[in-house]
Amino acid sequence: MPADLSTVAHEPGIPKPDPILTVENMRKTFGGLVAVDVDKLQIQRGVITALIGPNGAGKTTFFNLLTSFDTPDSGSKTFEGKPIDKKAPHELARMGMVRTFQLTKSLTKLTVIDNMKLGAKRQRGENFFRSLVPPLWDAQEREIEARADDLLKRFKLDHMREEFAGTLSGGQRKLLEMARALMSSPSVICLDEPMAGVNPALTQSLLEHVKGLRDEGITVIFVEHDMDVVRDISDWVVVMAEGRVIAEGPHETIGKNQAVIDAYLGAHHDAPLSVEEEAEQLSDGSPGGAT
Amino acid sequence: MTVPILAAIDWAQIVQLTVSSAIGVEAMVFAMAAIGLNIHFGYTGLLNFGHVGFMAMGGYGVGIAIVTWQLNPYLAILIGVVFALVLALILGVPTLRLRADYLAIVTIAASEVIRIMARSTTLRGLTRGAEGLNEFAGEYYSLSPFKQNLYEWGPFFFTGNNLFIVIIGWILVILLAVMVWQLMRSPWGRVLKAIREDEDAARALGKNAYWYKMQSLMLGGAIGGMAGMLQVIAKSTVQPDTFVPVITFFIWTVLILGGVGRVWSPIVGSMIFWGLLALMENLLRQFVAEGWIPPSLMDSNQVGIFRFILVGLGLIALMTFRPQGIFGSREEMALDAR
Ligand SMILES: Nc1ncnc2c1ncn2[C@@H]1O[C@H](COP(=O)(O)OP(=O)(O)O)[C@@H](O)[C@H]1O
Ligand SMILES: [Mg+2]
Repeated sequence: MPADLSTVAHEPGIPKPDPILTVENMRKTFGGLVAVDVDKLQIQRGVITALIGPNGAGKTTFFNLLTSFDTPDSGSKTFEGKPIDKKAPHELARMGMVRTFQLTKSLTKLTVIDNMKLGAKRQRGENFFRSLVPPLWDAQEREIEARADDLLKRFKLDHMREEFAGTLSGGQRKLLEMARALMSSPSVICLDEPMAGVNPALTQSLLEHVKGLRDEGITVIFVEHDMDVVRDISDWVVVMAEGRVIAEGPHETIGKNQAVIDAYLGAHHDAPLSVEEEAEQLSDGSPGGAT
Repeated sequence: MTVPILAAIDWAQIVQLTVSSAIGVEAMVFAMAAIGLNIHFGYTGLLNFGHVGFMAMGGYGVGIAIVTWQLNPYLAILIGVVFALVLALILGVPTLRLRADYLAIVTIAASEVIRIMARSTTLRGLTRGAEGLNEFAGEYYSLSPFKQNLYEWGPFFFTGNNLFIVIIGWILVILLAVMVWQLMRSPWGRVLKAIREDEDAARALGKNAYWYKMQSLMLGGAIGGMAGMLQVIAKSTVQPDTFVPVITFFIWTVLILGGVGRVWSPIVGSMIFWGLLALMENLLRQFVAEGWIPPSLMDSNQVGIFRFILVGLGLIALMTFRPQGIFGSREEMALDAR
């Protein structure tokens, strides 16, 4: 593991030894509703950070703010030490920060392979004038295609290569979206519920891919509800509730955290559970623990 | 055969008029305009409901450059293109960052604003108001190799000037279609199609969606402008009321008929549209002339309108039985519904 989080205290907002992304005083309201209100959050480089929290905690909105798909009411953020508050989403993607969406955005009337090729950065043929002269981009296109085929094989989508992405199942679309994001060789990838709807048979290999990304030095931030998954792959867990970061730490400490237990219980109006049972579920990760 | 009505019809004439119309000036102009609209809507998903505005800019660009500014005819063509590009910028800058429907509203309004401004007395000095700009096309026709008044091949005939503009126009249409084909199989076209499918996905992958939409609007607009130029050169006059909103809807019809987002559909769609209009008009005229349609039902003055009713019914039938158009793929269309 490239960087050491073992010395970092388990407190919300705690600084990290080697942060790649930092956020300060980030606030977003929708009408009267405070969707995100994060005082301070640093994301450690080269590790897998899980972002968890009850439904409506503001995780997706936080991703949107981070990747500039939404503008905050106030706050600032940096990437690789540089302020990125004024950057457009496509600029951030070019800088190496890509994302996927909770509601999958597969480009339905493009084939799977075209979806993949789109993900590659700095394509010469994406310039209008050059696009009219194929010799200027043919070679690069073949290179991109080879890389795309490679990734498709790794994600077990190679048999769907020529199909329209719209014909894929929900789980396959999740895989495609993730593979497509990887085509840009990102340094940070933000995955919003990447496992939701994915066939359980595929989840395991998907998890292996995510771990593989970390081994390649990519920083992964992902939103996930399944505590088994979180325990399996995350190096660090950030818990959000009602827009705030309420806890941080390795997954072992999270289930025991009183603030986290309260947050999840609060979200469970109809759960006939005692505090102890809920805490137990959270820490052993049985279904229903986190939603 | 024994059906007297069919036997009495002058089929040779009907075929001649239908084919002439399918390859005539109108079909050529609308094919070109639809190529531009296809770039906008078919490949980028831009809702342009004022394509005639680009045609007007092209037409007036040429007319104003030659008549008002006394420039040479080649420069005038360039100016026509620049006019169309400027319109694309004016429409695009404020709207392309917003939701798709904003462009739709602004394009409808802009195309009417252009026509009304061109008619207005305020701009008389530039556009000559309602009477329009005349006597500028001669410079182009002086380049024509077809010096005879009339050219005939069997039942078909064209005036020399008409033949010239039709040939030049169709060559351009083919070249533009080939260009679109090349663009849309390139990475540039891939970005446009991605934006059509989901703009945010394209942005998340590092594509500047705004700039690509702008390029699409400019390219399609410039092609619409060229269609407008050919239109006014063929008519030898630029008049505001050539550019009424219904033209935009004919272009949409042509595009949908052929199949949205297909390279050749604007061409085939336009030929079928204008061919069918001529076919119906002339069939109906003969029916009326022979008394098979009683005058109480329809007289020859109403034929022109009635054929549009038939075209409308035909479109409804097309949308029911083949919603993807002639070239479109049903399979692809079904993906939208998923
Ligand atoms: N565009 C929006 N308009 C209004 N409210 C929104 C919008 N997006 C999110 N919200 C609200 O903000 C809160 C956080 O939502 P979200 O970020 O989607 O939560 P999570 O991803 O953690 O489930 C929710 O209460 C949600 O209803
Ligand atoms: Mg969410």
